[in-house]
Amino acid sequence: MRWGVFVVFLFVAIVLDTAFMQVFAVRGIWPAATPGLVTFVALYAARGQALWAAVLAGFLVDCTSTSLAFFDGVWPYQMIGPSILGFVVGTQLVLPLRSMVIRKNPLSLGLVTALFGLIAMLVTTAIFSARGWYAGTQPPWAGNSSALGHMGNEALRAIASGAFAVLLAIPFNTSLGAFGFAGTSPWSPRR
Amino acid sequence: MPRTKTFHTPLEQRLWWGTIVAALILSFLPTRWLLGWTSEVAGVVNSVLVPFQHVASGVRTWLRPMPDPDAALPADMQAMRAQLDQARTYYKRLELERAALEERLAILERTVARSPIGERSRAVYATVVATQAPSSRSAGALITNAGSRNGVTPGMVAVWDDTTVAGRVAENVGRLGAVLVPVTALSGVQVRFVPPDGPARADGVAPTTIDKPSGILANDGHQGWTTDVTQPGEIAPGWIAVIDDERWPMSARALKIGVVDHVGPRDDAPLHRRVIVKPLVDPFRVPHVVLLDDVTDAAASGNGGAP
Repeated sequence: MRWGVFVVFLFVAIVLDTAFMQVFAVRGIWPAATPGLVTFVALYAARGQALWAAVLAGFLVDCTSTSLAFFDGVWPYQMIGPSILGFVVGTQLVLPLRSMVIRKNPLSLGLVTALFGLIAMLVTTAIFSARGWYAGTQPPWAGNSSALGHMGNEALRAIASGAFAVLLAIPFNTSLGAFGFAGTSPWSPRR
Repeated sequence: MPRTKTFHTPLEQRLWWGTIVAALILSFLPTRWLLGWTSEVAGVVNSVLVPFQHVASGVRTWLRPMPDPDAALPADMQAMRAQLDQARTYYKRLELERAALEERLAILERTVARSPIGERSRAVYATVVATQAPSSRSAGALITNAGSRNGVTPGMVAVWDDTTVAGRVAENVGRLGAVLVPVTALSGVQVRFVPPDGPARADGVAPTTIDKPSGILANDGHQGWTTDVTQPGEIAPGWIAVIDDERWPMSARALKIGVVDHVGPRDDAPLHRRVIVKPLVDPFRVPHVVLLDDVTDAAASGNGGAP
């Protein structure tokens, strides 16, 4: 895999997620592009590369999500870790699935992205629930709903991201050559 | 078919597990330990993203603008509401302008009332719009937004807080602005030393300072002055140096210029006292001044005012 191409795609996906995707919002739920990209890489890249790509994407997602701590005033901080772990676990789920799906079919990417999003959501919600016990720390759902309500919203978001990934599959599949994945040529051994 | 290894070298494997353990530890660190440094790490990432995010959010707002709560109202109601908002904004702006003008007028009246020649003083309100900090090549300067159009003439005294000299207007006054020489750059000014509770100009009458010792301030190059006093009379640290110079406008007489920092005998002339005076105000931090001058026949016909 060509890392430069992946980083450019990841950069665009993060910019879209943080500043543009709300244009698709329906009842407060909007999709994300990053899970679709990580899933696409997990479907094609070598195992090690797919996992490192998940770490990098998770790191950027964590860096662009601000949390608030309440100690003698409100303190913003970045919770680096939950999305990294969530994306890695999600990728670990996608890796065995990739031999069972038709990778070039946009619907496959959509379905696997939704599963990826659900698994990542479970991991991050578990971490945020545990952190809710810490002093001065509130989970993302504090004040609005329960952990279950948050999981429901995040599940809908994962499904929305899956639906959006069906659209993303078109530019991704067109760029397969640019990504330079091993195994995309008929003569390459599948990793 | 045997499954291939995810990571081929032990180093790669160690690096991977190190990253995962680090992510786990970071995920469960106490929140206090994450404050500060995580924002700095994220700041590096965000500094690259922000320009692109700005463009993306602009496109998003263009595609899907924020819903207007008045959109459902009839057209004439919307027009009336818009007119009302416009009138409110105009009224608020007038209120703010009136308050600012009243404040300026009060400052001008106070300053003129404290002048020893009262109504025969000419006062112009000016805002300091720029400063040039002192450097090895210059003593610095202040630039005001009042110029000859507002009646500013060279030599006018810039007064801060009704009683303290902040500087003097330099030559070549522009039409729309003037350059002030900061008080810290002035030299050769004759002053008299009075006790801190001495000058009482509220009644518009100059205090009697003729019996107080006087001196000519010489700039010491360190934002202060020195003077040698030969006359008898008490001077102590904390006393105030007030203007008593016939070359200055009458309206500026007895204005405060500095405070006595140190008094001691001169090493080479023990009968002389060396007085070190520090400025009362940092002229580079003054936001606005009142420029004072005496009314002359020429100026009386075209008195200025607030710009």
